[in-house]
Amino acid sequence: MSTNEANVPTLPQPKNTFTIKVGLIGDAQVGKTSLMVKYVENVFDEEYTQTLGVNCLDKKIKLGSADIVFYIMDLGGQREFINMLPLASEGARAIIFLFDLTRPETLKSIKEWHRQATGFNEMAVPLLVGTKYDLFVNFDPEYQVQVSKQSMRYAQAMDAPLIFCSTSHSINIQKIFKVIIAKLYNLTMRASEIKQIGDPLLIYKHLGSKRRFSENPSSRNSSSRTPSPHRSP
Amino acid sequence: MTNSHIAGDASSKRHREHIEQPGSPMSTRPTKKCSTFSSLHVFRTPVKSHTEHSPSRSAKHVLSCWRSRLGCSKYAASQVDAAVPTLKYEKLENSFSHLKLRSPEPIGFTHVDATDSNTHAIFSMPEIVAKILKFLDADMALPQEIVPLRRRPQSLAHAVLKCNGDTTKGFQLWNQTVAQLKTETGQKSRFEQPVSGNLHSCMLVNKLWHELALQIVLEKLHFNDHRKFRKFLESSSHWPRDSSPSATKPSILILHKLSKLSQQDLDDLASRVATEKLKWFELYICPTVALSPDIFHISCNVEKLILPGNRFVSDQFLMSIARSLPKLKELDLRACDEVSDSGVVAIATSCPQLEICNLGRHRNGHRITSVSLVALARHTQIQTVGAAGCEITDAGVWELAMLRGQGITRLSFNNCRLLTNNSLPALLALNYLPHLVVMEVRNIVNITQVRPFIIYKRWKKSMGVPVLIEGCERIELLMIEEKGRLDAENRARILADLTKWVNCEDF
Repeated sequence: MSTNEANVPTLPQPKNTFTIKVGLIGDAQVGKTSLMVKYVENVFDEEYTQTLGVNCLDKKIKLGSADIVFYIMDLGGQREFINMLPLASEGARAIIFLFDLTRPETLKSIKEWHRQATGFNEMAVPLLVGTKYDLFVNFDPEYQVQVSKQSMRYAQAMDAPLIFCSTSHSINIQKIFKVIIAKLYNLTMRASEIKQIGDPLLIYKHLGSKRRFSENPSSRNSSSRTPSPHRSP
Repeated sequence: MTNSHIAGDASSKRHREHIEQPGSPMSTRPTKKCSTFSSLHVFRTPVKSHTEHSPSRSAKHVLSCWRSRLGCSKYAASQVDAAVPTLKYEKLENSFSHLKLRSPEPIGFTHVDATDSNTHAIFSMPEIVAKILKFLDADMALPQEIVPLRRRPQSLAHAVLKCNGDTTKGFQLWNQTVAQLKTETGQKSRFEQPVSGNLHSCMLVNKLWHELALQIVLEKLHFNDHRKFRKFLESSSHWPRDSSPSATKPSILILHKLSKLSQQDLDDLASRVATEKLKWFELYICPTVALSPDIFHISCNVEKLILPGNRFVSDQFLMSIARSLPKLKELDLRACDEVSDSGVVAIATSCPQLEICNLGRHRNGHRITSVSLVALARHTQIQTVGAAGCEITDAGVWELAMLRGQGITRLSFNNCRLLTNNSLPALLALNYLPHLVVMEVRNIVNITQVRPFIIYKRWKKSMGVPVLIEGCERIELLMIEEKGRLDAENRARILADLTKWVNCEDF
């Protein structure tokens, strides 16, 4: 509508907006809501608030040619909310499985979460994210080795990029969402991987790139309003 | 009863006499008889002695029509039907109670009155009847050209392109088109048949109704049937002439496709009808009659002048009437081959309110050039321009866009062979026509650059305004190719932006 202001008017080009739904799944108190709020609003609250059912927030990223909206859905970790799992997983382009690095049993539950979520949505890119790295780093080295190796095995099995993060200390938070985009559109991401045990792991290059099934790019394009990705073999 | 029902008019007359026997109390008459009676249309020809019953049918129509407008769905049509005879008199009164009319005095049927003794008093109050009849008039369809939503495809391949490459839909569309073309030999299938008759039935009710309905009918004169037109001329021969205050002063006068219309008929009409109130004059494809400019000299209210396909409309004619059309908003001179730039300039300079002007033609395209376009742009409020088949140039279109760019909504430049990429494509790219919604660019060989069309269409779509661009097969194909290229470019740009974002430093 700049026609009246400019002397030589030009035709405005509408910006496309792509909405990418991301589901956050994992046991209670691993930090799903915290991660979401941290990413969207860049704040961290020490206090724990139980998520009743599903929370959602969206974050818009403005690029020159298009806008990307992450529509993040966070499912309450309590068992009673399992029936809301379809809400968080169906139609999601990526599902982030979170576990608490200080509580190994939360990693074990991932197996079940993963099984259930892929039942509803097998096309989403999975991510395995360990939270509370800031606390984990103070645990004794042997424990760290054990949990790190275990999580690497899980990541391998799920074919999911593995990321250790800390919401309170802002470690690897942005990376999580960049990895999602890189995996979704098969983009070259140059950030170096972190594989040294004891560091906040970031292993993504060879995980999650496999095509999960043969999909029709055009139908996918229309259903989720995203640019059909060029997936060169 | 049943006999008369089947046997038709002759026996129904007998039947009527039977039930009309003097002294037979109305209340003893079964309601069923009444309704059958009215449904036999015996009052097609009004008989004075029977007028008291005649409203039942028309009144039913009017009432139900009125009711639906008032939103009283509570009263079904059958109820209304039954309400008219005396038997259901109270019911009628009840149903009207919310209208807060004066309560009519109960009139016995022994009471003989000029007005109807049998029906509600409401139907003898001229103001109210006039109001009701006006509603009927609103439902009346005028004979109109049905404007197709989209133009017909020119070939099967074109049909497929129009359906965005969907072959099955394309086939369907093409088959439909072929079928339509076949049936159209009868010519009238493309045109809506006007529904008349309701008002005319009302004219047969009684004197009062006749008078009121006639007034309304004469407001809008329209004919698409030569026979009816002749009848009208015959019956109107004894009417008061022009000068008298009671002369017929229609606001709408339409002669739709009267191909046999003779000059004499038209002159007769002109002499019988006063034109000072005329707002809409239409002579739709009546090619063989010449209009006298005098029709317009008395009137200065004409807003809509539709004269497509008339070979007697010439520059001289337009020049002589232009000054009498200060309020003209819409001018349709399609296929008026004799008209050239000078006629259009005359109109443009004396019709400052002109919004729609169609000069499309197949023959004599050289007579309309950019001169017309520029005149329209300079002197009028033009919004819609039809110049199909005319020899307009890029410069003319630019001038139009410069002067009227903000107002232009529809352009038809089919077969304008002189136009090039410097016309519409360039203008759209610079967004000099920001409100354009329909654009016809069929068979313009020199238009090869369609990217602005696509970008413009997308921009409008993003604002929720659909844009229709009618191209020929070649242009549609170009548009589809360009769309693909544009998509690929957009995709590449978006992916590049995404890669940049993915690799930028975290904050």
